[in-house]
Amino acid sequence: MTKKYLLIAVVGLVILLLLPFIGVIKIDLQSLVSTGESTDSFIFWQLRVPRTLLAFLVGSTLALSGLIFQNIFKNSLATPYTLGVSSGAAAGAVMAMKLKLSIAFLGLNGIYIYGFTGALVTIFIILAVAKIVKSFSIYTLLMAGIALNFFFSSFILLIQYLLEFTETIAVLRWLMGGLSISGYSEIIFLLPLYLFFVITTFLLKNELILISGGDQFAYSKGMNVKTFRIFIFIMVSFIVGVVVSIAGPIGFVGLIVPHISRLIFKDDFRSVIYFTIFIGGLLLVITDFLARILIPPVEIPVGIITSFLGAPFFLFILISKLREN
Amino acid sequence: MQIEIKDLTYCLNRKKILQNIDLKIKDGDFWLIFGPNGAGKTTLLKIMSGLIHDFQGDARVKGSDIKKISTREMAKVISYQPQFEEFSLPIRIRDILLAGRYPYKSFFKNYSKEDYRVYDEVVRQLELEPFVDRDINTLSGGERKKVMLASAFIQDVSIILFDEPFTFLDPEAVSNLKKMMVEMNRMGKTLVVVSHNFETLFPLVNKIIALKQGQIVYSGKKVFDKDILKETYNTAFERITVKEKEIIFLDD
Repeated sequence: MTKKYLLIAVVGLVILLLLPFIGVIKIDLQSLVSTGESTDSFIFWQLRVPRTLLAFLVGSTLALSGLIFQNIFKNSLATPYTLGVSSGAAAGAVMAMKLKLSIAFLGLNGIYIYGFTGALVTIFIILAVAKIVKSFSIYTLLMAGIALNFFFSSFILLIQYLLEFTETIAVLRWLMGGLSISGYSEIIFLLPLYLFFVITTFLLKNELILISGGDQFAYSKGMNVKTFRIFIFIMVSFIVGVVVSIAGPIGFVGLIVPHISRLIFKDDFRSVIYFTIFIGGLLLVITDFLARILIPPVEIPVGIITSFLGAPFFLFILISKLREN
Repeated sequence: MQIEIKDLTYCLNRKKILQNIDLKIKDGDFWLIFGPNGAGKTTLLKIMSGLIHDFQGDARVKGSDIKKISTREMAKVISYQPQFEEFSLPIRIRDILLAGRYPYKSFFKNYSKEDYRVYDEVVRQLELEPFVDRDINTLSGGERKKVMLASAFIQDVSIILFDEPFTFLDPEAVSNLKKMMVEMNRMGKTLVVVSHNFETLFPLVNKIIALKQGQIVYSGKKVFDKDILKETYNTAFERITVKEKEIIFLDD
């Protein structure tokens, strides 16, 4: 087991360290260490390194959110993306863009707040639907998710239609998911949130195990299920809202990574968490690398690649689940 | 007194599920709640376990109001064993067993040495060593029940509530579970079992409740009374003794 861990960690780290050096523009290694400004050192330190870091943080966050949702809803198909939470966040963010809401509130960018609100509203609509029909079955959840996805898509289209032509292009590009940033401002903002998110998840691992055994089980062991769920929903909405506001609604990372983690580590939940966090980040770094180099000099939006890979994967899980029953 | 219920009525969508229930469950009792489908047995059990709060009347566990007692305090006293375990994701049995120590653990902290000591003891007593590193979903129905009971043991509760414990169990598992129940009761645990096939359980218990359409037909010391059974089930039952064992069967 430790060998498996070590191998994954080493290979992963090598990939993480190597990828920023590779790209359409060859980087002269000499210029990176020498003092003084050069185009190569700018591309490396101000574009590729922050971009790789952002890809890691975003991928890791989406994967961990997916894992948490799976445990809370006791189903491997329930993730923020499939339930429409990412779309909700996107709708909120697009609305903020349209209304030019860059006003900071408590030090937060207006777009983040709208993204967070969109995500939270989506979760509570899904919960309300589940409560009315008294069923948290995956059928109920996914159907509600589909309805919300349709609704938010039309909402986003409407806003796009009302935007200026140049803004439309920018929003469209953002909706396809992208990680090209320059400088570190997004990372400085996201990193503390990410660390809080990861540490809290580790501290709540026992609760996450309990709740994956069902509400009744968790309750019978003395856990305050309602409070826990509300706390988790607010936390996940916030981080997903922020991540979607920055990088667009990147799909399926939250579905694929936890699924693979469980295939490898099965019922060993602690290892599943570690693996999900690490591989989630790594997967998006690699996908983003592919997005940069596949058809140069064009850059493919990273969200398109994840969906290309993720949608068939979703179908695959769905088929194997349905065949089980 | 373990559980005391006074004049309890519970409605769901304006339909009366339970009506004017009075009940006193004492230390060391072994109760069977029986009755036809839809009599309100499971609802009564869920009220006792604190899963349902919006009833009228008074329900107390060890003197404290069920509506006011905290989830954590409740978990130190009562364990509810549902009919189905809804484990759909992989969960390690060790984690399920350790969850029995959850109500004793402070929030954000890991399980302590004492928690592991209790865990080890029960695992050894119930010979669960071969299971602890397995996924609960790989177990048979009977093994699963055993693990869930072991978890209640680790939880150190004094009352265990069972909802239809014998459904989906093969004869060997039924026999094992019956033995475990008798043994637990002998050790001083208070047991309340809900079941509609009371033939299996009747010989084991010492108190019974006959429930029909949300109302109590009879509650108290165990008696084999054909009139009560007839009124509860609309079917006649007969009893014989074979090899010093009570056998109850449908007289149709």
